[in-house]
Amino acid sequence: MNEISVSINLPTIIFFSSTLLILGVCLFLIGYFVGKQSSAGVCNTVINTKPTSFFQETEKDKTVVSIDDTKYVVDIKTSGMEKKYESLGEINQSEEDISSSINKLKNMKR
Amino acid sequence: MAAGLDVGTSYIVLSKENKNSIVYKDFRDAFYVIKPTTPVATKMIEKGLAGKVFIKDADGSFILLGKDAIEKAIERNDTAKRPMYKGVVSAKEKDAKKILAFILKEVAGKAKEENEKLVFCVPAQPVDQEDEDFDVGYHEDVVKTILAECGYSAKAINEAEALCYAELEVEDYTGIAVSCGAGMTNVCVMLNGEPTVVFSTTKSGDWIDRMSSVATGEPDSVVQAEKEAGGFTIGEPNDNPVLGAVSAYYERLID
Repeated sequence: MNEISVSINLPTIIFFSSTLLILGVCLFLIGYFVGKQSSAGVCNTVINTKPTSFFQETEKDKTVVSIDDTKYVVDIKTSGMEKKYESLGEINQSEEDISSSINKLKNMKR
Repeated sequence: MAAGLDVGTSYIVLSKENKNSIVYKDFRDAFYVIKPTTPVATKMIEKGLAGKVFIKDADGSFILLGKDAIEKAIERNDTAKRPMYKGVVSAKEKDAKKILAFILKEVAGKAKEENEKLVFCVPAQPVDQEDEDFDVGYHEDVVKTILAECGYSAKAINEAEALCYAELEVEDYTGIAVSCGAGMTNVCVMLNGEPTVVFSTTKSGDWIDRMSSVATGEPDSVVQAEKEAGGFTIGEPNDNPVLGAVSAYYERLID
């Protein structure tokens, strides 16, 4: 009867076991990231609010408080605008004396 | 030192006392937006606009201001936009508040001292407009907020009332003042320095331009330019169809 002898030495065992370990870690990481990406959309739609009544529908969209800036003045930003000119507007001078008219009006308002 | 500001639909005018005289600074209240489509177009447009009054917005568009905006609009057979509509901040224009703020800040400048007094004109509630969009209070708040940023302590006064104070000195401040602006016609009846009746109508210069534009098929800017160049008498026929329409609509407005 023929005998088959297989000799496996220690470096070969170490090589195979480390390759398997690295492969396992890689597969775990790939699975982790793929799972995270695919569940991202699902997690956002989960309703966290507790239903108050059996018959009442669970509130899906929370109302966001917003200020209507066409009714109430909030902030008017002009910082993003870059000026591309030297001067703006025409300047005129008038030699009018308005002091007498102001004094007259002051006396009438007393 | 105090200042006066007329925030009008067509012009913004600032007046300031300077020793024995009054200095006026006026600016045409109009804008025209050019949006370049490519980086090459951006450079070409910027080169073409050299010497004109314009600003570059954060989104890369060019906004021409004042007379240059009207000229450019006419050049492109288009109509220039206005940050104000019928005497108040335009609700129709998305960028109205932003552009009005920019123009006001530039015209008024920074206050020379903290809380420098400034009086600005506001229209009266119109008798022919019951639109919710027309909100004088909101317009007043917008102007006050902008001027406060420049360091002014701003106070509003009715446009026609201010006119009474300016013109009725000899008549002991008793009479009627009618302010015919671009967006509105404001009226104030004053008795011994006290305004008794104050109202406005939304039919004014812009209404004449709009109606004449519809009648002749020309853009509003073209009608406005022709009208301001003169050459017509109210109630008399004119060879120029635009001026003829302007004359007719003036007559109808007065009636």
